[in-house]
Amino acid sequence: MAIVRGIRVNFIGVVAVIALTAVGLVNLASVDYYSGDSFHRAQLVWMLLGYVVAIIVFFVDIRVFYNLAYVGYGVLLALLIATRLFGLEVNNSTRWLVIGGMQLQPSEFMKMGLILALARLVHQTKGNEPYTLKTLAKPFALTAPPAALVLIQPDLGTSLIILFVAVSVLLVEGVRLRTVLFIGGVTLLVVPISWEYDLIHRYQKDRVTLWLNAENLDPSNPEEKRILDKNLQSEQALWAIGSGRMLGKGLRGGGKSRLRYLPEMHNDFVIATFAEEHGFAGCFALSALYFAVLIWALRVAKDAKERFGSLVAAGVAAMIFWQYFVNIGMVTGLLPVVGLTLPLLSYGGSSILTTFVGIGLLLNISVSKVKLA
Amino acid sequence: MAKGLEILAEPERIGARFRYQWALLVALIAFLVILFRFFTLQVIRGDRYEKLATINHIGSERIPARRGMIKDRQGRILAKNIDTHHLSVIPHYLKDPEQELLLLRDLLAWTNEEYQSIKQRIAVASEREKQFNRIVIQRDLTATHCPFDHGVLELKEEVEFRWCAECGRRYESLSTDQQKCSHDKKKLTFSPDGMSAACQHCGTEYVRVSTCPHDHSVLRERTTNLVCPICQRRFDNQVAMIVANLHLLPGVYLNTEMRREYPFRNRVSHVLGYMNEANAEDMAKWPGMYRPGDFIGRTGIERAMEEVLRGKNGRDTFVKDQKGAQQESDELKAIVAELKGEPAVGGHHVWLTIDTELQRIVKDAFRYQKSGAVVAMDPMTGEVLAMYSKPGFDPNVWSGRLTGDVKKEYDNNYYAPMINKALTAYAPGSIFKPVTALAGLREGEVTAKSTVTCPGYYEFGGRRFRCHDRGGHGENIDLVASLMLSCDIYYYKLGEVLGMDRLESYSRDVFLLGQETGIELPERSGRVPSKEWYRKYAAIGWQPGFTLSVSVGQGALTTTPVQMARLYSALINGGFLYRPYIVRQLEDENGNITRRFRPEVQAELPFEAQQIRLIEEGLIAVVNNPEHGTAYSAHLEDVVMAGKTGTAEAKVMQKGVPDDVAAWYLQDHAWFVGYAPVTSPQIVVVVFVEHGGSGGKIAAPVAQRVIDQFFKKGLGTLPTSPHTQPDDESDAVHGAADIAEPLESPKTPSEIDSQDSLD
Repeated sequence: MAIVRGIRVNFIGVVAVIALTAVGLVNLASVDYYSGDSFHRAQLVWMLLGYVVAIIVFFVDIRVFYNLAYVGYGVLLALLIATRLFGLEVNNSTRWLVIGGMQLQPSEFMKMGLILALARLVHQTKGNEPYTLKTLAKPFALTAPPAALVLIQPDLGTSLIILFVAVSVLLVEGVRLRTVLFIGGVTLLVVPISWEYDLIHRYQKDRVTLWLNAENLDPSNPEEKRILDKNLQSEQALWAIGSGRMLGKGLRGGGKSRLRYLPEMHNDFVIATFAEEHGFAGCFALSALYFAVLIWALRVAKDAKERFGSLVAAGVAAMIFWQYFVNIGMVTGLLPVVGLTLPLLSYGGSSILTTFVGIGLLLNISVSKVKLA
Repeated sequence: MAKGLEILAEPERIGARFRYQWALLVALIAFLVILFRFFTLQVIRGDRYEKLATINHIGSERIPARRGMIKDRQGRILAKNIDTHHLSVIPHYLKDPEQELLLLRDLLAWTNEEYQSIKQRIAVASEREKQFNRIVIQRDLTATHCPFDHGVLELKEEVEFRWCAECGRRYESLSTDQQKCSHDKKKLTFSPDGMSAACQHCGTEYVRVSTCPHDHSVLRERTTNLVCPICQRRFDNQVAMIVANLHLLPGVYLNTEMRREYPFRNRVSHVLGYMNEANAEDMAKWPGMYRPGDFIGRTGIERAMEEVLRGKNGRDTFVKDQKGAQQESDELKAIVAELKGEPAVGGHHVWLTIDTELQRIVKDAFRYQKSGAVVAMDPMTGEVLAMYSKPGFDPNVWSGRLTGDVKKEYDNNYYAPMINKALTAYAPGSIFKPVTALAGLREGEVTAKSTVTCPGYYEFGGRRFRCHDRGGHGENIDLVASLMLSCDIYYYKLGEVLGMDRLESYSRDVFLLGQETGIELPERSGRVPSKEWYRKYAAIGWQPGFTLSVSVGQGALTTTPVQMARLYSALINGGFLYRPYIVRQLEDENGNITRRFRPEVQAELPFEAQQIRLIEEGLIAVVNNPEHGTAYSAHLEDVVMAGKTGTAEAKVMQKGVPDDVAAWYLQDHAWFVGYAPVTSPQIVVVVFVEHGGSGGKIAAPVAQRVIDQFFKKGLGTLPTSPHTQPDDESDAVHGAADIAEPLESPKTPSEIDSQDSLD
């Protein structure tokens, strides 16, 4: 009975995830075709590993996750600090930790770690009243350290996702309207101040400047010229996406020569190649797949038997949703450029594994009858 | 572990359910936004982006700004730009690199070595990521100017030559019974087999057969018809040859760039300075302004006014499709904001206070001296009318293709041709004496009537300080006589009374010695020693006797010729120490004067008029007293000139140099400061001859000639009578300051003295 129900509830979600992994691999193979790299081979290994991880997570008792939530959070926080101290510096950013020859990105795993820890915290401490400024202190204390550690790597994208996920989970759990308005107001004040006093990195500022007024920049000023060169990169992504038109240029029918403008082609800008090859139709279908996964995740959250599972599912939903929205928003020029992967399409082991842990948890929660009592 | 955990209460779950609906709604809106964005990009604007996507490459090229010219006070051009050509390649657009390079080799007569190295560079650059970068493969293609010395090439009869691609040597054909070089008619030296010959005089090599005598490879025939009148090198019109073959050379580009030309060659070299390639330091100083290979002012005005001269580079953008063809579609340009071009803004022209004609007179007057400097200044304004340092250099050579041999020649020159001696500090000797005299007068230690007796020496501290006249100047030497005779004893005694501290204070604080004058060019500050300085640096520490040395301009005291020009100007212009300046005004590229520089008073002398008059009396006597004046031989008939001689001991024992150089080092520095006319001075001339000997015999005649010519050539206005009314003074002065108003009478280039290139 449980199995039958499990299949019924999870059918759409699982199919969508399988379809996304397939699309991701084929698309990465296309990118590699243009650039001559071989990311898709490694990605295949990561994906297979991801499925194994998801199945393991599926079968583990949810109480194990509950019990280990804080420990896991602590370990990941320690890894983030270790990254700060001994991490590998690539492009002026220290995001990777090399352990036994493997490059790990603890910030990716932290997204999952925070979801679990936050879910446990809320489960343990919250009654039925909505959150107020005072009661939000504990969740905030849990969220701030990882968000700050990732921000100073610097990795604005992942840091924002960590923040967005936490905020989404808490909002779904219920926050008093007054508190929401107050925190919103403070944020509106803090952003210009941190801008003015260089609390955020120059390149991050550049991207926002660019997004706001690319047309008015003066190329003869070396400072603004640097920003404009970055613009050319995003501009090229737009051309690639737009030139796909309704049906796309077909698999491997894209323009090879523009690749040199897009160093993040296999990574953050991976959607550009997809959009060029498959056009609006392809993008529509792809978005539908993500939407299917989201509906599934929210439904699991809604139907969960206890608060911990519900919150974890909501967190996974928020994670996938925000990454999809911010990544595509930035590549299509709706949002400023921040470094952020597209779940299941972008290349990267840490990102893939994190996503699959989330999917495994969704499956787990959907059939779990265990009550955390 | 499980404490405090319970099943969710029912009402809460209902609230949560409600919020999940909200979440779903928010997500749906977000997805719709993204889809709408895709729709806009791909369907609504799709065709536009499709067109843009055919762009393979967006290029942007710099339009170099035209560097401002340097002009003299009359508007004569001292530095201008000429176009030179260089050849560059963008590897991606080369159709057949092998064939194209072979053609270039034949056209430009590269040696195999050059050919291989260029081929190698292109192969390296062709790798991914770099294939669109432009690489310069040859600079300074010859067309109209000699790349070595910027001489204007002359068209001569065509001479056939044979060229060896293996070693790059050039040979001329040897006719059957030819025995003499066809260029200089000198006898040829034949090789043992008689098949080749060389002229030992001009270096031309001849062959009888078509094989290279060095490596026996087959020679190719070429003709050449351009000759540099200065260095006699022969050239081809490489630019014309490349242009004629450009259709066979896709991916090869002929670019024009500007190089500096200095028509007056050695005449104004130290003032102008020269240019060479910007180095890492320059690029760090002005980020984003220079690229490797760009030229930048290195010394002199070129350096000092770099920011004014260089202007602002512009930018031209272009779009290329997959095939490398340039697309000029306005539609594309309008779409890509990046493609907005930008015009270049030319640099400002810098007008100097220098008068090139006076500079010529100075150079001519200095022609018998090996090393030294001359500064001519308008005493009423501080304008530097002439600044000449010898030996000099040709800025054209230094700004062009500087060969190792030439550089070595300059480096090995014992007389330091690259140093501007007008701004380098040396012991001034007796020309310093007015400072000691005025200090004594103002401090009340001497009066006009005080006298000394000069036995030819002065005993002080167990040491005998000698006067330059070993026999002594005799009795009753008063202040005027002490200047006229340059009697050292008078100043030893005065220095002893004044003491080191007061002497130092007057030199430094009143006459501003020992510090930079603030002229636009890099300068040495000179040194006014103090007791403290001697304690720190002298081997024997501070000794009272040093005061005596300093009081006659010796010891550790050093001054630059420009500092002395300012000091004497102040003595005769009513007591104003003007900042010496050399930049008169700035003119933008449209001919508008954007800035004029005015005289700046740095300090006022605190002496009474009669004290200064005493000094002047002495200075007039130096040149005009037929019996005793140390520079009477330098007096002029038409105009009354005054001045002061100086002979500073500067003996240096130099080892490991040629004998004549060692002998030169043993001599004294010769100085002379002169001005004229005495009633309303229009020019102060400081002559410094490094290790030249006697100031009166060596330096004074130079100043005499300069001042004489200054008036004879109409650069100054001769007073109608030697004693003009004081009322007329100001008029005369202004006449001198503005010798000609350059704006109203700019000279056309043809009027400019072009014979000067030979001097």
